[in-house]
Amino acid sequence: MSERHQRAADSADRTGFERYRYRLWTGVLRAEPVLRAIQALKRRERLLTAVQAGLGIAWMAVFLLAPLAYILALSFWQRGAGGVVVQEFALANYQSILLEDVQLLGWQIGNVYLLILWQSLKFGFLTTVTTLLLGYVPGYFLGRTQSKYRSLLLLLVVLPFWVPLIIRYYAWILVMGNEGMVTTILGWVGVESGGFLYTEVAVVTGLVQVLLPFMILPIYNSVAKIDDEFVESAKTMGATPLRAFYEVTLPLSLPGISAGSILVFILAVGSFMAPALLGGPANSMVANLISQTFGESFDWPLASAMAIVYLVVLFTLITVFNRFVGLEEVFGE
Amino acid sequence: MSPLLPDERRWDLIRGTTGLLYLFLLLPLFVVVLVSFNPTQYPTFPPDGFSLTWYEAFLTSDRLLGALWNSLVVAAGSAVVAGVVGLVSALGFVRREFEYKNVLSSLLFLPMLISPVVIGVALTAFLTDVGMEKNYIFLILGHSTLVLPYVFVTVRAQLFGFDRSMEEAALTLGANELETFVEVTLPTIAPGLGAGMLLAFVISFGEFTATQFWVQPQTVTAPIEIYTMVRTSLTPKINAMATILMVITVGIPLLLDVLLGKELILKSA
Repeated sequence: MSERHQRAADSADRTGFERYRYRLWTGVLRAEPVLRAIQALKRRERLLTAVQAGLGIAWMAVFLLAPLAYILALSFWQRGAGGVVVQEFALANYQSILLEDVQLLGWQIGNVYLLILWQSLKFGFLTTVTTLLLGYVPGYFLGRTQSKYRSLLLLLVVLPFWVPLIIRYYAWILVMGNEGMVTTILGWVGVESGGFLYTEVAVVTGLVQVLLPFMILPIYNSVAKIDDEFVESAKTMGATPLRAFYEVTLPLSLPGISAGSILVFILAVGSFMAPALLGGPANSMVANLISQTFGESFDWPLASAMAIVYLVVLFTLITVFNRFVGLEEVFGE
Repeated sequence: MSPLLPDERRWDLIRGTTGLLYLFLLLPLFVVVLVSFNPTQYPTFPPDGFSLTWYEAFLTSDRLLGALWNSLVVAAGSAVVAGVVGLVSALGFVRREFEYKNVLSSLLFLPMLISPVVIGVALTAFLTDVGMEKNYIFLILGHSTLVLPYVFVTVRAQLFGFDRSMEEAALTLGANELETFVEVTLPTIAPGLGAGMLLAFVISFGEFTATQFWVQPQTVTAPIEIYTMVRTSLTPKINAMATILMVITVGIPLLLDVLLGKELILKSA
């Protein structure tokens, strides 16, 4: 390669294909070495792509997918004496969590795992509906307000994310406990109560408060995108403000509603801390059962089977939901 | 939303409801701070007086201070690891074209969707069975996985708005690719990377659910200690410790933000 070609290749290395093509076109360069240089550049690009995007993918493959594949395998193995795992393929774990009923003091109490899974989905649903009803108002307000404090108000919605989750749940113990704020204030107005702690109400209240920002922010995003003119023209054409809301604002904020709802539902169903800190023994959710089986009974295969069934149920629900509304809204660009 | 109300009254109603919900979001945290100065053994409302007894109890407990230190080490480590991995993968996903990009990018969001109990259990089973010990590195690997989506999404958002003509200008003026990256690209995306790493730090610092499976007595973190205290004794030391943790995760970042004058946080909202 002549010195001129070398120089050209060096400058092209810095400025990309375009400069190359131009020089080729103007006849400054001969085709063959240029083609070779382009191929080298393309190889380099492919390598960089593989390294850059590959790093995140490889990380998730090793630290997320491989562990999940491992518990899938574990779920078909058995717990031997002293918690040792015996690598014998059988469906016993799935049978015991899906088919067997548990007897307690002669009472048939049904299948514990399925009951708790059902309870998790129920708490998830209650939390989602409540956060949607509560979260729409501030989402709408933030999307519509002209206040100069809007970014400060948005910051206040985001701020709780930075507070360790355990503190946010713990705070409700102080608020709802038997000498807590709620009881005291109710006492002032003459209502006696022993506090709401360790009840279903406490679990759902905690979940709603912790997950509310996940509902407010996507709704705010959707509402802020709505052009004022749409709403105004509906009103000009004779729609009452209420009708304008139903016919224009609400449908246009649906992407935010569905994004917020799916996110809140997924996070609520998988919650460990809300039932552990605010619920009683009867308010356990699937995460608590998995944790107990894994950490206290040391039955790793059974805990794995529970985790797998939970994942399958959850992802089936997400897929069904995804058929009706796109999930791109949640993680879209 | 009654049609009978004039527009301004309706807006007042919306504003009032929003205000109440802000109280609902933030008031419980103020209660923790308020009660932390309460001298009595049992948390009462309204407080019985003012004292720093429980802060003293926290600051003289080697066990609790050790847990705080462990949390700081793990959170700093995870923020750095997730920062590097998140930055590099965001560059790959935004600037390069390859097949199955959408599916593969949702892989990077998966840790946000799967319950931390499942991730905790799965990683424990996997890493202990390949022979890894439960040390700081174990915790940092686990936490980095949990927080990687947050770094990835913030850096990616910053890269989408990136004007590449600045990089081209640097290249044309004779800088090589590394120089261009360090002198042009990195400073421009620094706010996104900074915000993402801060979020990674804060989430790792407060993570409990998966962490409970990943610690051993020497590496117990602050949230684990709080959980143990809540479940066993409900001592008022929890309030003092919780307040100090909130100062670390909310107070210090906000203060730095204002003092450094960059207002990364205030503007990113």
